Amino acid sequence: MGEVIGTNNRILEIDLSSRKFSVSEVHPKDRDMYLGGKGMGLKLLYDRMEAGTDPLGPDNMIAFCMGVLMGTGAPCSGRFEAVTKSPLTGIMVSASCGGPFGMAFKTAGWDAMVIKGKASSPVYLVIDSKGVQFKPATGVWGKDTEAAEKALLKDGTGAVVIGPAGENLVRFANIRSGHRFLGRGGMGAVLGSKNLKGIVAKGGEFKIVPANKKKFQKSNKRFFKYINANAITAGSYRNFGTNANVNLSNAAGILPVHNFSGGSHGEAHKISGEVMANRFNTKYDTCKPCAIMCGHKGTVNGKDRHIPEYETIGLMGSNLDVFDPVVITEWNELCSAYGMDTISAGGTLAWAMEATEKGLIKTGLKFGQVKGVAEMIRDIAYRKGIGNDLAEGSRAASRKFGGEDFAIHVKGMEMAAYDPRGCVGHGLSYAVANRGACHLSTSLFTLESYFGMASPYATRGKHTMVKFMENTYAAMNSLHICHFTAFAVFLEPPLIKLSPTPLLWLLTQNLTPLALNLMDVSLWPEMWHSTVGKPYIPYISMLRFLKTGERIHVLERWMNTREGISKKDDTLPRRLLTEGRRCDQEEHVVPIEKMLGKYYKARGYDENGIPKKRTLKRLGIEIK
Amino acid sequence: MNTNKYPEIKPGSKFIKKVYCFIMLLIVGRAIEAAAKTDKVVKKEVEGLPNDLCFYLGVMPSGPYMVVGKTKEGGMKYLGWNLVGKKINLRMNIRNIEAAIQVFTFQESTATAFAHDRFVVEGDLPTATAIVRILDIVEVYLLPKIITKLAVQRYPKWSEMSPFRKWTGRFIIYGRALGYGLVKDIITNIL
Amino acid sequence: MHIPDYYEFFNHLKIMSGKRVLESIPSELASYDAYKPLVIADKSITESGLVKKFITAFADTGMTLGGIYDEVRDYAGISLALNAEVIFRERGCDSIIALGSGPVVDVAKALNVLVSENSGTLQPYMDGAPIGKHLKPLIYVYACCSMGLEATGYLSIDNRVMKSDFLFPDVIMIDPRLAPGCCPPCAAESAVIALDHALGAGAGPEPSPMLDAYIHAALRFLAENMKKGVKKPGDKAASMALANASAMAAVAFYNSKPGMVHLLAVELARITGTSAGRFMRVLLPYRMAYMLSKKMKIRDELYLALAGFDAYSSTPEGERTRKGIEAVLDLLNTTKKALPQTMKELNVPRHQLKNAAEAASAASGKFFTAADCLSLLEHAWEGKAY
Repeated sequence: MGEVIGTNNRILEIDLSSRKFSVSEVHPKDRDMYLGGKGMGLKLLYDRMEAGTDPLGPDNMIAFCMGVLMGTGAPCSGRFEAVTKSPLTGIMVSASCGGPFGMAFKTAGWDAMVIKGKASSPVYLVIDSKGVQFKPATGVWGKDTEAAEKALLKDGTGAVVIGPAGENLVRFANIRSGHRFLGRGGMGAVLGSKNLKGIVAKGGEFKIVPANKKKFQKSNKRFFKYINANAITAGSYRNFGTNANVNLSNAAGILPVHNFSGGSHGEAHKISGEVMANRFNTKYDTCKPCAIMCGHKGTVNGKDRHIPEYETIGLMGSNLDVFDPVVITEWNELCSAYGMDTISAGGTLAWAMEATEKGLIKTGLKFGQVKGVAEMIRDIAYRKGIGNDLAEGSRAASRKFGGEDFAIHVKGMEMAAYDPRGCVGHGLSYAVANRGACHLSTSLFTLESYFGMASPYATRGKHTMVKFMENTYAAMNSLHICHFTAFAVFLEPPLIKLSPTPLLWLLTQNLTPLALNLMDVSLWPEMWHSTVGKPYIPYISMLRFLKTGERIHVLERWMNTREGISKKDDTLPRRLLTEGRRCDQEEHVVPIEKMLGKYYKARGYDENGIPKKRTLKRLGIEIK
Repeated sequence: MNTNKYPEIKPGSKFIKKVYCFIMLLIVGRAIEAAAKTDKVVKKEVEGLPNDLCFYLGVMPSGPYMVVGKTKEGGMKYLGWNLVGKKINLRMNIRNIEAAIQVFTFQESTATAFAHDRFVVEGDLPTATAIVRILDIVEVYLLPKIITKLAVQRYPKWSEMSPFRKWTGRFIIYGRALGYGLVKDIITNIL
Repeated sequence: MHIPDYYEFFNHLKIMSGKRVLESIPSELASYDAYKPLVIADKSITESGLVKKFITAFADTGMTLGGIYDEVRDYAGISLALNAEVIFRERGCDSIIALGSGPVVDVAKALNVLVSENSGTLQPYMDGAPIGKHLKPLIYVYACCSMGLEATGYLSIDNRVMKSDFLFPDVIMIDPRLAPGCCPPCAAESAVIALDHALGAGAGPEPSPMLDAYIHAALRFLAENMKKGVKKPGDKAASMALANASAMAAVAFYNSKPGMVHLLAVELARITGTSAGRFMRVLLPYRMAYMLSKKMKIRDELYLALAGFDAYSSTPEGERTRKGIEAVLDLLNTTKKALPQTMKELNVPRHQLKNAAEAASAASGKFFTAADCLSLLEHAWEGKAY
């Protein structure tokens, strides 16, 4: 077995139209500036793709980029990232996945892969260290994700596949690997448009070792210690999965109810992680390797089922006024089989229910009514009847049928299950997030609504927090390491851990920059430096790491502005800006305008939200 | 939905503007009475009016008003601001208080106001136009030329109204309009 | 003058324009036997305090305003109309006043259908059921700008369009206190829409004399006031003229077939979420150039309306068409600083052009072919002259 020290920098470039592939190298400078994962993927597409490409056309490219830490044994590092232009939003999208494909691909000796063109007939790819084989997918085309993956795994140890939704170009179709998904933004449709059913990697040909083993082990130990000490990573998420958030969100009034009309519900506990863990006798079922172990499976009505994540529970449960965990689990399973993003599917279904209620469309769907939903999910996946329009996502459907005021999306991407009227800073984060209403560009709601470290309704300082978290998360997505490690890394260093929460509240609220400087995120840069074998300079390396995050975030923004994104798109759904909720004693809406200007200033964008030349130059982004 | 966020609105009153119009109407009403006795042109116009004429000029929808009637002797009589109990056969309404202010502050001449549909006339139209002519002459008497020019359709030439006639008429009309009769009118109207 | 063999012209609208016109609302309402209006207003109007001027217009009238529902912003949705219906019924209102532009009037019209027809939903009407009776009195108070369809029988709610003669507002009030625009882009957009509607109505096969009268007046107003109105949206005289032009162009538009530019702009707006006026600005010159290149008939009267009688009569007959088009382009150029001038600036993805062209062609009942529509869009996208 070969050995890769740090990274092996090999990129596989595949052209499906000509069924040829080539190999290129990651430039060392790019490696420094964009790390790996998301940053690398964006850079690859920035260099290769023109603005204005049709997301479902052959010119669109999709890049799969492995994390730098993947395979080194770092905790929660078994993740890879895919980047492409989203058919749902029309702008760049990146998604992260913890499935087995990543490890198989990386241990096949590759760091990244860029796919372009369109195969003349359905194919799947088999990848080993020598290159690519193009195999006809006639036997698997049309199969659901589980069956297709099973079939593909005959050729390797890890695969990514699309389901019928991806084949039918459902704009929020996703890509499956194991039981984890490249969820958002319709990546499945991009593969579908290229006639590519899946990719399977042989794997096991190389072993990944960090360049500086000693330092790596030291950091790794600290990392494990933090993760095992944190109440979220070692407590609620490990025991109950991410749907431990249900009770927290319900109490904080940020759980979406009735298509984001309300923020909490009396029956919400029924779908909480705690109840489901007991009721379904759940066991771990996670990414590999993982130290948090948030993924769970259980026995639901005698069948083995994956326990839905919080977002699925929020969007397909409370947001549809459905509080039956069995039903939600089945819908989750259906979406997985068809290969559809549950957040966007849930958001679109909620829109459809409200539009039906208001007489804009006829679907037979109704809030709180289970009947018809499973059929509608199938209709969306196969684009039948009104499902054909819903498959375009809530933005396109609302533009066709009306009801834009209650289509809960930003830039076309349906909102995740945190209502920003109960956490306005997170509202700003939704509005400016690069890929749309994304909960993963920051997780400010945790500070605002869960931990009480910032005021949920104050606007002061929120732009600074959002900027800091975006930078950190962009860098994390490029390492690539699990987002949930942020709980441990942010909160476990002694300075934060020992400070009383009210003091932290005062600091974040009034002296935000100081408070953010107290956050010690040195663990991540330490791991990166020890893996690639570069000297780590305390503090300075951490600042450079954050600047890298900033570079990646701004590059993505710059690519989006070339597609027409500007201030007009950095907004929230009308409902969140204008309608108060009954669950609040005082009605709150998100004062987005108050924060947006300050955020742009902090980011170095002009008043229209376009990165200034000066900013791009400072970050070393070449203007094209 | 919380409908209390959009409460019913009861609009207020424009008291000062109403008082101003009230005073103007009072003076004009009294002046018509005086002019009918003084000026021969007005006298002639009045002769042509129907004998049982009783008209009012007012502001919609709630006043103030000026009621003027033709007397048995062939003159005009200011009958106060109360409409109750009067047999009115010609109603001249100005559409709203703002339009009335436009007219009474001479930003808009009576003729333009008619053209702008600011007057709503119910009754015999020729009579109404005769009354507008009377009003024009009364304004010539009451107001200095510079203002009157704004208010009337055509300012009378020298040949039609010599300065001598104008000035004597002006003194007499002011004397009659604001004299003892005014106090009497006010008292009778209040009582 | 040529009299067509047959023509129809419908205008239900009473236009009231000028000083202190707001104060006539109560008497107008009273003439419809209505005494308790519900006001649908734009949020920006209540926020800027303009609504106070509006309320004082009702002083001393004894009328009560059933409420001011000011939740309308830049989108007309059925939810707003349904909410307004609750207030309307709870307060026992009998008429509607729309205070604002586009979406406000659309919500008001939708509300009017809901409360007059007692249907509880608009679905049957969206599916094609006709509105069969006179609706409640609806007064439209022009404020800030126009989206082009207010003073017509079109109702565009939730991105769907209905057309009925009964949907006309009864009265439009244009008052210099409310007419001035808020910003140059806003004023420019409403002027461009008016221009497009007037030109589109004039390009029909056989315009009627009534239509000509409206188009001519609208174009004259635009020719004389567009430059000033766009540069200084606060200018009262110019904004009043533009408001009048908008109203007249809208009536003309209602009485003719929608033009290609209008249809394409509406479809592009639906796809991209950018307002239609901006697309009209970009597409109009290409449409004119296309018509010129295909030797389609562009009437001399266009030049007469835009340049005035002197210039018209001193130009040889053969050149009037070309000069007329030049005058249109000059007018459009007055929006240079206010509106995007090219498709590039509007950031339309190229692959969406085909969808827009097909939808526009379908909306015209195949009067314009999809190929023609696409060719126009592609020329505009590439900035290529005909």
